[in-house]
Amino acid sequence: MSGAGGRASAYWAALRQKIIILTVLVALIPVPLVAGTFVRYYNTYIRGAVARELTAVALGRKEAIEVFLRERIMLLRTLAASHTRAGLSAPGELGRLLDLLRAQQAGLSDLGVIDASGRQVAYSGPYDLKGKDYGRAEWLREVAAKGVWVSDLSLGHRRVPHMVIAVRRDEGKKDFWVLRATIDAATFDRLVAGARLGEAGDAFVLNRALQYQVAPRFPARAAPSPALLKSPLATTTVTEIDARHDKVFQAATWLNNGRWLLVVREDSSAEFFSLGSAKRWAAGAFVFALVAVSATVILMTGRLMGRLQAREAELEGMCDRLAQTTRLAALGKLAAGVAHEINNPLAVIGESAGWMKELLEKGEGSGEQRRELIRAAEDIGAQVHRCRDITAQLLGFARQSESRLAPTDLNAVVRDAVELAHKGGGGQDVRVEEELSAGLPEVESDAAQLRQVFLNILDNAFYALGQRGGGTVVVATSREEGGVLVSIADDGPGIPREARERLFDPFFTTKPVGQGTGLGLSICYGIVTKLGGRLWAEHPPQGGAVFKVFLPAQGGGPEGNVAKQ
Amino acid sequence: MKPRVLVVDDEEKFVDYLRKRLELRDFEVTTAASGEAALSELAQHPADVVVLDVLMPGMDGIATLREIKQRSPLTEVIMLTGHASVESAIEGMKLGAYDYLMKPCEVDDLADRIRKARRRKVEQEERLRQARTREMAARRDF
Repeated sequence: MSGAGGRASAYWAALRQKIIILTVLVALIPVPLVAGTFVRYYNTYIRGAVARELTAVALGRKEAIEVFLRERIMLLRTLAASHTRAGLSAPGELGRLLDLLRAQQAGLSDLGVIDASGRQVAYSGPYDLKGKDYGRAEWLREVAAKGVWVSDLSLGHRRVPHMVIAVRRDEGKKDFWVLRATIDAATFDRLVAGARLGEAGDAFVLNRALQYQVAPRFPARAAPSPALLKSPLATTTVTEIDARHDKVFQAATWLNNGRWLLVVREDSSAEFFSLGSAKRWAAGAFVFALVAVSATVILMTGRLMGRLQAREAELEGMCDRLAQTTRLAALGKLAAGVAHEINNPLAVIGESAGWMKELLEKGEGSGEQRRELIRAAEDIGAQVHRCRDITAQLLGFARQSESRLAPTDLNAVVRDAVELAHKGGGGQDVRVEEELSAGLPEVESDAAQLRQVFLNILDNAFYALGQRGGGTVVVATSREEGGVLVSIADDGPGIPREARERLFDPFFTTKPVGQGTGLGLSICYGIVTKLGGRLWAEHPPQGGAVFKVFLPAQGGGPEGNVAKQ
Repeated sequence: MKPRVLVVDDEEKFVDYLRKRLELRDFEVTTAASGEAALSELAQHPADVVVLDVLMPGMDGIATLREIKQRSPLTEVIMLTGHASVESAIEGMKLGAYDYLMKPCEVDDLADRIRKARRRKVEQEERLRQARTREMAARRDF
């Protein structure tokens, strides 16, 4: 009982757990899903905004730098075009022009005139470079070929970062000269620095050799990678770089006909900060929801389980009462059936006894009378026998649970039963065919109880066949896997479809009232089950009924309610 | 004339002894083992009183009673019943049975009731005859 209780409580515990887990999961799964969707959407939105801003800044700076360079080139071209070499080479002329330019803050630190052979014929500036020979310089060939040249930023001869712009001036048919100017690095730096936004913003310029043309404000933050050089020429590329886990974006755009790359960086942690705090809030809300939902679900489930269990217990009680009521009703039916069964022989006994008394009262003592008396006494005996059969059957019903197991020869038991069935008065018109298989293994079983089972089935068959004036019963035994099968088949009318299900129910009978208690097959079923076997009926389509009993070689049912001899 | 009694019961021995004992008490007794047999027996040998078992295989006592009353309303019927079938006996009374007895019963008691039943039948036959006579006389006067 405690085992069953343990199983039941384990069942309830498992059910409770299942309901709680499922409900909590279903209630909470949407929360991270929704939060995740919002975070993702917001993230994309911020990235887009940052990228647009960065692109605008980069393009603006690019424009400013390009305009600056174009203006210097235009300035030099104008100067060169408006002068001759001789004019510019006149002492003091270049100095005068440089002063003019400085006054207008043109950002030029020196001027020089170089002839076609590369010799600097005139110079004005902080260094003494007059007469310097650039004949072998690469840039000279370039300016001769293209008419204009802008150098990278370099330390050059002077060990100070500077940048050179040179323009070609044709004079005469074949001759030309070059006007060359130096731009302060500081001027250029200021231009680029305009793109440095906020505290953490940065901007720098690289040439194709990844050398800084304008150094970054925070060199340690990220070395420029060669991948940058793969940025397409015409567009501005925005990428996110992982710098100390801050949200740093950079936009890269090409300058100076693709010779320089302007990189603008912006730390967008501030923009993402609100997202981060939103995430923290969401996580907090989730934890709160988890706790709240779990607590509610656990509480509600507990209450629900309590009610369910109470209802279950109530139902069990009702079932018990119902079973008891059914048992009482069955008992009443049984009592009525038994009373009727016994009343019939009692009526005969009463009549024959009365007849005997009347005969004796007449007291004539003739031979005929003696015979009448003897016959009446015999009838009384027969009726008493009948009553005893009924009580024996009742006792069999009451004693169902006791079995005595012994090695049993089923063929012998079956033969006994057939003989008894014939003696019982039934089956005058019934032919019994025995198909008993030789060499049947003995089974551990109770011969007396099995005899009762086979006798009962045979009686039923005889009754069914007798109703329609005779027939054949085939009794067969055969060896089966794990035991022996006994089959009793008749070619009678068969069992009505509506009776098949209730065949083994106690008190169910198709016989007229008074002829059957409805206990026979139910007793048989009980006996066979107790003996560890199976009893069932088959209904062949061609008619008739087949009852089969399977008995295991090793007896004893799962109930184990069996006494070994 | 001896009272004519038909005893109907599927218990052969019972019918047999009852017949002998009733004959000893000066009844003319015929027997039948089922409702159907009783009806054909009645057709051949009309009886004054039928002693009828309620519980029989085939046509039961109530159905037999109904049939008997339809065929010859003046025939009296005494029902024999077990304890479990008192309701059927009561139903039988409603259908016009004269009386009912519980099995097993005392034969003298049964004989007594058969006589009373037969007396009533005779009286009713008498009354019927007088009514017919009056009717015929009235017709003649008219």
